[in-house]
Amino acid sequence: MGRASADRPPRRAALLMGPGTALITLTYVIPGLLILLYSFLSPKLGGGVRWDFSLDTYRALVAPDVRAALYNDYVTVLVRSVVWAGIATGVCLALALPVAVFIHARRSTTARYALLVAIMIPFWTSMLVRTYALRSLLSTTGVLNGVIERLFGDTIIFLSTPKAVILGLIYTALPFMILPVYAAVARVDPHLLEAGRDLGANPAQTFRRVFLPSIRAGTVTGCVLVFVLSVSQFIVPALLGGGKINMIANLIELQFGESFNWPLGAGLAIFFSALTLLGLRVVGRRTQEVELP
Amino acid sequence: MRAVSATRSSHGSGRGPAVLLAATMLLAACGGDATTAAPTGTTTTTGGTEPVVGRCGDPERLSDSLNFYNWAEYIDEAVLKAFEEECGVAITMDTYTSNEEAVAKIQAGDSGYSLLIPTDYAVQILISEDLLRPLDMANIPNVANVDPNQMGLYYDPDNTYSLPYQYSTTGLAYNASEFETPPDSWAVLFDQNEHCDRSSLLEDQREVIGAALVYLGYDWNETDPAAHEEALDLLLNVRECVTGFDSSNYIGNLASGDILLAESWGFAAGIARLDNPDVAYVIPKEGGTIWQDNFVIPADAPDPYTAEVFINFMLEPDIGALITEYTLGFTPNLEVEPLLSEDYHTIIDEGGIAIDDEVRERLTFQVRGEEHAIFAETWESLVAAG
Repeated sequence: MGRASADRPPRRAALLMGPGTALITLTYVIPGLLILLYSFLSPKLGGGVRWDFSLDTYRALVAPDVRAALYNDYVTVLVRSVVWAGIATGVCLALALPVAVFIHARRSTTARYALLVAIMIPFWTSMLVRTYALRSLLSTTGVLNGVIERLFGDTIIFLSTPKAVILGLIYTALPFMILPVYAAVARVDPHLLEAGRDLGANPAQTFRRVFLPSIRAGTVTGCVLVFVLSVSQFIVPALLGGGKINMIANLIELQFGESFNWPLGAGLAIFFSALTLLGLRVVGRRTQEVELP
Repeated sequence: MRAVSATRSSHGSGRGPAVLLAATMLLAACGGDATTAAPTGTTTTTGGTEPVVGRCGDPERLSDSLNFYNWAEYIDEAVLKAFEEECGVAITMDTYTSNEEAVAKIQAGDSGYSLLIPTDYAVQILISEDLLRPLDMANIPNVANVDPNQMGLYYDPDNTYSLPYQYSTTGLAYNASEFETPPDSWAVLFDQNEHCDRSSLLEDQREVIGAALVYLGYDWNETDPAAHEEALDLLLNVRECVTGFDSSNYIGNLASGDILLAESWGFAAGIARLDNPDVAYVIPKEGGTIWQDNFVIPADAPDPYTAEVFINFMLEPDIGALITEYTLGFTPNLEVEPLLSEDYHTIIDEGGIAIDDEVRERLTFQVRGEEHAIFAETWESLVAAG
C-alpha cells in the first residue's frame, strides 16, 4: 500500500486532500491562530480585545514559585479536570470491557446489532437534554433519591457535588469506550485463546496475557477518546455542578462571558490545548497502534 | 443576568386572569380601525417634525418586518402579535440569556437587529463603544409617560440612546413557612444559615460578591483588594454548603420548596410566588441592587424608524400593562401603574417585592468600569476553589 500511494501523481493527492485540508484550515487553523494572537492582547470592557501587546495572560498562568502554583486557581481547576477525566476513563474502561465481551458472545447477529444500536440510541437525543434529564434524576426529590430514601431512610445530595459531575462524565463518555473496545474484542482470534488454554494457562492468565494484549489497540483508542471528551467537558459541570464545581472549559467560558477577559480565555485555551496535544503525543509514542475511528 | 426560560413556561397558567384582563384592555384600546382610533396618551402631531399618526407612526416609513433581540421570556408574545396586527410589521424575536451574549453579538456587527433590551451597565458599555444610535424622540412621543425617576440615570444621563423598559431589584427570596421571623439581613444567608444546603446564590459575580461586600459593611461596587479578600473568605465558607450559583433553576426550586432561601431578582421571586404563596422577598437592611433594562437601537440597525415606532408602541399604557403583568418587574411608565391588575399587586405588594422610598434608599446601581476587573478575579478564586 505504501508503494502504491508513492506512485500516485501528486496532483491527485492534492485533490484528495484539498477539501478536507481547506475545511480544517478554515475552521480550525485560522481560528486557532486568532486565539493565539488574542492571548497576547489586552482585555476590553464588554468583551473583545484592545490591540495593545501584553503578556499579562501568561503572567497570570505562570506562578512565580511552587507555593503560589499550588494556590493558583487555574492550576487547581486544571488538575481537577485531569483527575476527574482520568477517573471517568478508568470507570468507563472497567464498565465497557464486560459489556463488549457480553455483546460479542451473543450467537445471533441480530442480537449483537440490536445491542450495539441500543448503545448508540442515546446519541439521538441532544446531550444538553440528556444532561437536564440526569439533573432531575439526581435531584434531592428525584427518582434515584426516592429509591435511596425507601431503602435507607435518608437522601443523598448529588447535585452540585463532584459525585454528580463525575457520574455525568462517565454517563456521557461510556459509548465512546464501548464501541472501540467491542470492535477490538470482535477481532480477537478465538484460536489464540484456545492455544493459551492448551498451553496450560488458567482463565485468569489467558485473560491477562492473551486477551488483554489482543484488544490493546481498542482500549487505548477508547481511553484517548473518553479522556479528551471528559477533560474538556462544559455542559456536565455547568448543569450538574451547580456553578460551583467547575472544570477548565467553564473557566474559559467565564473569561469570554461575564469576566470580560478574552485574552485570558484565549491563553487558557492555548495552554490547555498544548497540554492535551502533548499528552496525546506521549500516548501515541508509547502505543504505535492507536487507531482513531 | 436573568435567564428564566426554564421556569417561565410552567407558570403560564398561573398568570391566566392577569393576562386575560390585560388582553381585554388591549382589545378595548384598539377596537375599530387602528389608524382612526384615538388611543389614550398618544399625541398625533409633534410640531415641526414628522407627524406621528396613531400608534403605528407613518405607514410609508414602516418596514415590513423588525428583528428584535430580547431577553428570553421577557415579553408577552401578545405584544408582538398586537403590533403585527395593528401596524402590519412582523416581528422576529431572538433571545439572549445574558448581557454579555447580547453585547458580543452587537459588537461583532451586522447583527441585523434593530432593537434590543440590555441592562443599565451594558447600555453604558455599548455607548462607550459607539455601538448605539441616538433615539429620535420625535418618533417616540410616549416618552412623556415615562417616570422621570427612571430617566437620566448614570449610564445614559440625557437618555440620548436609551429609554427604560422594565426595572427590578436584587435581594433575598425566602420560603416564609420556614422562618419564624421574616429575615431582614443578608446574615441569614451568610452567617448561621440554618437552611444552607437548601440555599442558592445567583450565578453573577457582581451580585454575589456585591452582596457579601454590603453585608461586611462595604459598598456594593467596592474595589479595594482587602475588602475583596474579606468577601472571598466569607463566600468560600458559604460556598461549601449552598446548592450552587444559579440564576435560572432556583426560581422553579423556590416554587417547589426545594430551595428555601435564595439571592434573587425581585421579579423572579414574583414568578415563584405565583406557584407558591409561601415565597416572599425582602431587600435586606444592608442593601440590595436596583437595575433597569432599556430599549436601545444598534448603530447599524436596518430599520431604526420602525424600531422607534415599536418602542413608542410598547410605551402605550395598555401595552405596557401587558408587559409588566408578564414580567412581574416594575414599569417605568406612569400611565401603566393604574392599569395593573389586582393579581399583579397582590404578588408584588404581599410578596414584599414592591419598593417604597425607604427601601429605595438601600438600593444601589452596579457600575462596571475597568477598575471593577477585581470582581472577576475574586469570582474566579471563588468558583475555582476545590
